[in-house]
Amino acid sequence: MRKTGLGEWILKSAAGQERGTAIYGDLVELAATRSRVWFWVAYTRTLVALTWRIPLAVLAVVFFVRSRGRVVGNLMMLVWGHHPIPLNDPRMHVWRVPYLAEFSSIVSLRVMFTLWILLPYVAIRFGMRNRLSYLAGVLFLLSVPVYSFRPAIYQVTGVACAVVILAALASAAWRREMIFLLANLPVVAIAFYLGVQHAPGFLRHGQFPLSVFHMRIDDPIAIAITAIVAPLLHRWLLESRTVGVAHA
Amino acid sequence: MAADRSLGEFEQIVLLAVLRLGDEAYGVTILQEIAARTGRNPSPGALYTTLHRMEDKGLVTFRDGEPTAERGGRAKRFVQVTREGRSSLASAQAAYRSLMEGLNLLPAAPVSKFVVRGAYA
Repeated sequence: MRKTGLGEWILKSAAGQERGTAIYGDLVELAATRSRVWFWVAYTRTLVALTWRIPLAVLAVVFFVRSRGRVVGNLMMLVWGHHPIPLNDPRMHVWRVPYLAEFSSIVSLRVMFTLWILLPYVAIRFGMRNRLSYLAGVLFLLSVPVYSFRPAIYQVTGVACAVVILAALASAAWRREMIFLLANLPVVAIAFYLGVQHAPGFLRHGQFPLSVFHMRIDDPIAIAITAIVAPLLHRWLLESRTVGVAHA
Repeated sequence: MAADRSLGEFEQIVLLAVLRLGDEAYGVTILQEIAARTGRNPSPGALYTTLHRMEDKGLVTFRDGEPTAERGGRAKRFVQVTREGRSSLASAQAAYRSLMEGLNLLPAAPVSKFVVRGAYA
């Protein structure tokens, strides 16, 4: 079995197994007619070209997570002051559809929490013109109005998100991107659960503690998602496999 | 919502080089073909990020070759242009041609000897 050096291992970690091996092989082949210095300069430039977006995306996520409290808190005060209507208030159930408000709450809040972390990540890591960024952007815009806490909007956001999610899953063109976004959801749900654990009064008394959104537990979880979980899921779910083996 | 399929200049150059090389298109030969045809020497990093971006857009696919000794036992990864890639390239080139029309910026194409001989025969 061929031994993998540290340089090749780093490249494979950054670009993926097949891509990394092929790139390293290309550099070795090109360096045969050049110097060793050329090889390491080309290697470094290639590694930087392939990875510079990753630390930037992680920094953007940390910034977004830390500013969530301010953004959401300001939005809350702008619309409702400090006293939003709790979910169990009859006024929340404008259309008298059983469980609609609860369903909408679960869907739109989970989507919003997940995308608050993932949207800056995918937008920077893969570019704004990537299909993943399009889908994440649309879902984010649909879910954010949940913080208006206006009953009608509150109920529509979750339903709209659910429709987009189901439509994406039904479409062959968007299915893998949607599965990637959904696969990140359980990790973010853990962060949400831990955050809510710090504010049980929110659930028991219908108070809305702004402190929930200052939870520092989000920071390491956001970093973990973006630096470890999301890239792994992206590699497994979205990076194409080679279509076959060519025989010379 | 349709995914974006517009091509940048370097993407078009890479796609054209891959099409010219046919079954022999992989990192090294693509870099050599671009250098030979355009006089540019793109860095390997620029080529790979472009290829990966186009793979994500569905414009190219890859197939593994067999390991060779000159590459330290590593396999080549051959590039193929997909139907979407050909279509995007054709659209981009048609747009260029349309913009160039009537400007007479390109030198006239050389007339082949065969045609000249045929004309005066």
